[in-house]
Amino acid sequence: MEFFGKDVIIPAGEIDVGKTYWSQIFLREHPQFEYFSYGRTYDLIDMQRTEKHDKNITGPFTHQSERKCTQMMEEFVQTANGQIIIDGYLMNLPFRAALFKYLKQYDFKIHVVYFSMEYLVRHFYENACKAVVKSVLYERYIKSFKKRYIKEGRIDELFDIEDHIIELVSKRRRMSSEEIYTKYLNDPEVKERLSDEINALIRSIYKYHDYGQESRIMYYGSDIFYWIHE
Amino acid sequence: MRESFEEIYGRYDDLCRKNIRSDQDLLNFEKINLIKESLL
Repeated sequence: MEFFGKDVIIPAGEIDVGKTYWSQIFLREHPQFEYFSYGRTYDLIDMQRTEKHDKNITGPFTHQSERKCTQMMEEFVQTANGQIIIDGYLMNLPFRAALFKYLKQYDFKIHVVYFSMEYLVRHFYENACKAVVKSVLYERYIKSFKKRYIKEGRIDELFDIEDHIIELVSKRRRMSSEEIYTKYLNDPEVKERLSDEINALIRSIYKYHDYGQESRIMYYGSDIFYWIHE
Repeated sequence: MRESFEEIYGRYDDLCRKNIRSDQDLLNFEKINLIKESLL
């Protein structure tokens, strides 16, 4: 990733694909970045994130608490020294467009880092990301990619992935972010290995990927679009 | 003059309730506006 001085990174992608997890790793590698979590701020203020998702509410201003955490986001942007991450949750179209437009007023270069389910399954299952053990996500994963893999004749790969999925789901390994950091990142040996892995990912994957007009439009308004899959 | 997030959001929310339904729509709308501005 190339930075320009005033940068904002917006991790994007479906719920629980590892955006927050990645952000925390990234922050350790790039401590000059400041972090704001829209969803977490929301949790702290009021209604639970799950409740929000259940109601299929993805934009702000449907609730007083949302107005409050949006104001906090504004304060964060206005006082940020230059390089920030805005980690959020599912953003609807007007919210996303408004966020980008708002950030542009402050001359930020907007980097959208898009995480696919495929990336999650392939790279994060071993690192105990809490999301990967949720069977519902695996069902979604299979639904998303099965047809494509069959169409492309990648049957063996599909079976490999499904084996991993079955194994992981059967283990029901659930870890909170805190547990991940305590058990994994505080262990120097694991930390080093993980760091190497993350660096390798950055070298090999975090390159600009021209994923076509459609995906770029999905993140309309961004200056730089990174597609992270496998 | 910078606008607040809520002001900007309100504008986009209105658009999305009317004729803007997708990112493609929004992109086209913005492009047209840019062209209009450059002609003024």
